[in-house]
Amino acid sequence: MLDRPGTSGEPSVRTEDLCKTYGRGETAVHAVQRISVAIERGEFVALCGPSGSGKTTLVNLVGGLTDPTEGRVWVDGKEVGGMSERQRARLRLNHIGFVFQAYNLLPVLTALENAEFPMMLRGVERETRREQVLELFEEIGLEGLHDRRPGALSGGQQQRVAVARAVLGAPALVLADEPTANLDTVASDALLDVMELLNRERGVTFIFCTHDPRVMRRARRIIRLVDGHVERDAEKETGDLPSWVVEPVNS
Amino acid sequence: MKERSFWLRVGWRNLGRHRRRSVITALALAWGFAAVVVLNGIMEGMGTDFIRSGTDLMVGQIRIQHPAYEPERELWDVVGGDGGVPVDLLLERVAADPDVLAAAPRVYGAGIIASDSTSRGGMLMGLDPEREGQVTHFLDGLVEGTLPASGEWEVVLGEELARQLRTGPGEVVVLVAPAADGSLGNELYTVSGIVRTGNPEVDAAQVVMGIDDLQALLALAPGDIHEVVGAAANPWDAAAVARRLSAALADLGPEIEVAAWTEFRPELVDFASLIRGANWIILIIVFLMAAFGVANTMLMGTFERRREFAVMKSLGMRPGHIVVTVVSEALVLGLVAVAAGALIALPLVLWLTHYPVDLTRVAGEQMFMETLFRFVLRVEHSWAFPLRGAAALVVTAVVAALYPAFRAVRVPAAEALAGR
Repeated sequence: MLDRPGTSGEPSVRTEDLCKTYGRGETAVHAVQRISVAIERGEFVALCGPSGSGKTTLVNLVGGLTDPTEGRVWVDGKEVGGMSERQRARLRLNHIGFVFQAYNLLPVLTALENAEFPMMLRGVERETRREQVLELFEEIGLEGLHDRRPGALSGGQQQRVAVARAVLGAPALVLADEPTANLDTVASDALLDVMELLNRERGVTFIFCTHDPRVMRRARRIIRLVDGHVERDAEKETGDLPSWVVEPVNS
Repeated sequence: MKERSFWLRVGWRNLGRHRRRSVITALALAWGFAAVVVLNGIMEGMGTDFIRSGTDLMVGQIRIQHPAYEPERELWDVVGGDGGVPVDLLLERVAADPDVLAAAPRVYGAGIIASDSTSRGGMLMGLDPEREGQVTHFLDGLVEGTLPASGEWEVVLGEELARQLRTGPGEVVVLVAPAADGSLGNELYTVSGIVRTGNPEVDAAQVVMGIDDLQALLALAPGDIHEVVGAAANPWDAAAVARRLSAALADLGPEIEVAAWTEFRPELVDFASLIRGANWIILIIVFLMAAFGVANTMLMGTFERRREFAVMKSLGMRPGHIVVTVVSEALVLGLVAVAAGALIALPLVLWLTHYPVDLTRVAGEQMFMETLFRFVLRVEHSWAFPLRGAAALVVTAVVAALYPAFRAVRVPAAEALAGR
């Protein structure tokens, strides 16, 4: 159904001394401080850490939604920092899928139109994209809901539409910011199943910002951020939940 | 751009999110559009009525004279006569033009008219009453008696002139006038009728008689005339008709000069330009208001949807696509407003076209620029102006949406997604 993302030698994501500071002087907030990480293609990574630790900011920097104060970030070997707004839009359109905590579906579009939206922007023919959307909807339990507007869908259904929107068209990278935060256990598990499947079978790189132990259990690498720094970065077996993940700060 | 209908559909749905606000904005635009169309029609109607009134009353819309006749108006500068242009052929050629309704010959002179009790200066006009009635309307103002019969030495006097002479139908008056041969022509005439044109200068001096009778008084040959006046089917086409006639009559000799009212009543052209200028000012004012209305609505819409624009950006939407999203909404708003405006304007335009409202009883008749002006609310409509107005309204809506669209493009994605 979907093309497999490209597999050049470059990591999916690489950052080098990445910094992001909001505000100036005494009120400055150093959201991200000198983070250098490399995330290879096909990884399933969870960014964890307390609120305000810089997870969302790091994801936004990777997605080119905000500019770093210092440092550099590469996606699929392309440096994001020096790109124009148009080039960043093209990068996001062709390489990155976003999933947000608040679903962020466009309310005037139906589930099908929301899911096919990025493909439409890419110029995929109507018939092709509808076929792909309906096929994926069937896989992720959204069959028969394609004509509904977001307001007529449950939270879990909306989030699955958001995931479909993010992964259709085979992005190399999906950035998911607290995707399970508003979902119940069943919906969370179903959603994670879908993402895991896409990761395993299609090699899509997933980076999650999360507080959810269920997400962290499924992740094969966890990066813990504290105060904008990488406190710990470790690979793990699926199903494990290392104790350091949930340790309080400064413990 | 591909998926054009998709963006229009999205625009339509976005307007539906704040139905009341969208309806109010669309209605404001629709009223503006309807007002512009109806006002333009009324102004055009007034302008045309004014032009018609200024030309149909006496001077006509097309004038054919000897090139030397104006401005001195010497009696001997005639068209036709011995060795000249045959007047019947001239009239035939003029009437043959498809845009000429009718043509009539005239002879002019000046003299003294005396009744039993007093005398006054008079402007003499010899004409063929039947033909003249097809070209001008001043003889419609006959308030007493009958039109002069040719060869019967009858005259029709202006109302004020008759009052000053203390004469009326059936009375005899004496006319004395310098003739073309240098002699002094004089003759007795019977007053057959009194005419009121509404033009004080004309009513105080006009003496109308059969063309043969005036030719005899002024010692002109039977074929000598000073002017042929013509009525054009559309006054605004008169200049083109005059040019065409000039070419068509060229073979009849060099003593013919054809002019349209636009040349011999240039002040009416200025007035028409003034009306059109006023139309443009109204249009600009209304559309400026429309632009602010649309800009306000779209700005509010884009401010409320900051997060959505941030999502669109995160999905890889290019700035141009975001502009298209906002502009599509304005485009739909403009199209809806035009449709609603047309529904409002059409009945009014049709009503005022077919049933003009005569305000003469309230406002009276006014002389303005030597023209009798009657206040009649009549719409003269063409498709060109409403179509241009509709296009202008839609373009205005789209242009007004550009700034809000620019603001939408500039939404900082990360901050908007975080709700900041």
